[in-house]
Amino acid sequence: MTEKDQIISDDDIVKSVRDGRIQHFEVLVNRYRNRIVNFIHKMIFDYDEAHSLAQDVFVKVYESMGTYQSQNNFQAFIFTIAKNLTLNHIKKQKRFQWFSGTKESNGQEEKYFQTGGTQELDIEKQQQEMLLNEGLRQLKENQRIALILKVYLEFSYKKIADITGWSEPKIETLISRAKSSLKGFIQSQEQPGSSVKSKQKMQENTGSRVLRMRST
Amino acid sequence: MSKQNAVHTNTKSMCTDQTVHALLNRYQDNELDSGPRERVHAHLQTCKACREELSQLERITLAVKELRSIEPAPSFNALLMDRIKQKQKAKSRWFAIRPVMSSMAYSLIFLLFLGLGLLINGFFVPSGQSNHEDLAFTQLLDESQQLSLLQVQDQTFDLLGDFNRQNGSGH
Repeated sequence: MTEKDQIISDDDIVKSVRDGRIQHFEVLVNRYRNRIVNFIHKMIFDYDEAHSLAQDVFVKVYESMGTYQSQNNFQAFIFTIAKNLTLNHIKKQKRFQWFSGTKESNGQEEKYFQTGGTQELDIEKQQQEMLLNEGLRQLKENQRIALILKVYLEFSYKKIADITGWSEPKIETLISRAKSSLKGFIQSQEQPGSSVKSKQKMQENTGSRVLRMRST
Repeated sequence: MSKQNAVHTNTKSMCTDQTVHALLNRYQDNELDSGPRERVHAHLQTCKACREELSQLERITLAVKELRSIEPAPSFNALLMDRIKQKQKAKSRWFAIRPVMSSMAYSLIFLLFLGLGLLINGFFVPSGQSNHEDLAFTQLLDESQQLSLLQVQDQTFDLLGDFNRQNGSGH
């Protein structure tokens, strides 16, 4: 992204795209791509699907540009679409799992960790992250959305309200419950009796990739 | 320390101010205005339970913040712009044939209404009988019904007349 791109507002770029300059849409893509991909990734825990869904988000944004009312709120516009498509995806997955009688497949953590070779962590941090991801997976979707938007993407309550349509007290409650649930989950996993169970469970889930590395 | 004001955070320590305790999440999320923020800050100097809880909230928050971010694939933009251009082409093609499609649609609708109108007015009669014959038959039926009614009326009057004459002569 060039310096010139940074000066131009989102609304100006939208106007330009509406006037037929499709190539300017890529400026918006560059601005929001990382955050959208990571937001979806933290919601669904699948690297490939996160990419695919992020592409769908941008296509939908392009198609919906006619409905965007220029009020310097493009960020809320794009994240609203991302949130809706992500929730639809999660519902579809649940329905598919219900009909097929399967739970989340093994190798889910493998898919999560396809980071393209960036930010390698030591084994302990990896396990902590896996534990945290497991805790995030236990949360209700709305709690997860609120938590990711607030903590990971650092949006204010007001911004989250614009994206989700929820009131600020509701957002506060969701975040508070999410943190409380995470805290409870992590504490229960960290207790001496349960650590063995959690390791065994992780072994089943991951195909013991991490634990094999630890034992060598 | 009143039990009503105390909030249990764990078995060992209790917060003395429920109102401030309820603000801890917003305080930690940096969502408080300066007045309430200072109040919570002052309370934390004296309340161990709230400090411990805040510390736990901060640990969770930090752990979530430090979740590894992923890099989008290098081909992300190229694939996306390709998809968008395909959509744009499809849209242009649709706008090109739209006038033709619209005309055909309007023509079909017109023909449909015309057909319905003709059907209602009886230009299409499945049995083979003409509309005029049906109308004549209906009129004939009505007239014959009216005639029958009149005849019944006359007969009734005659009977009543006979009855009255007989009763009148009887007395």
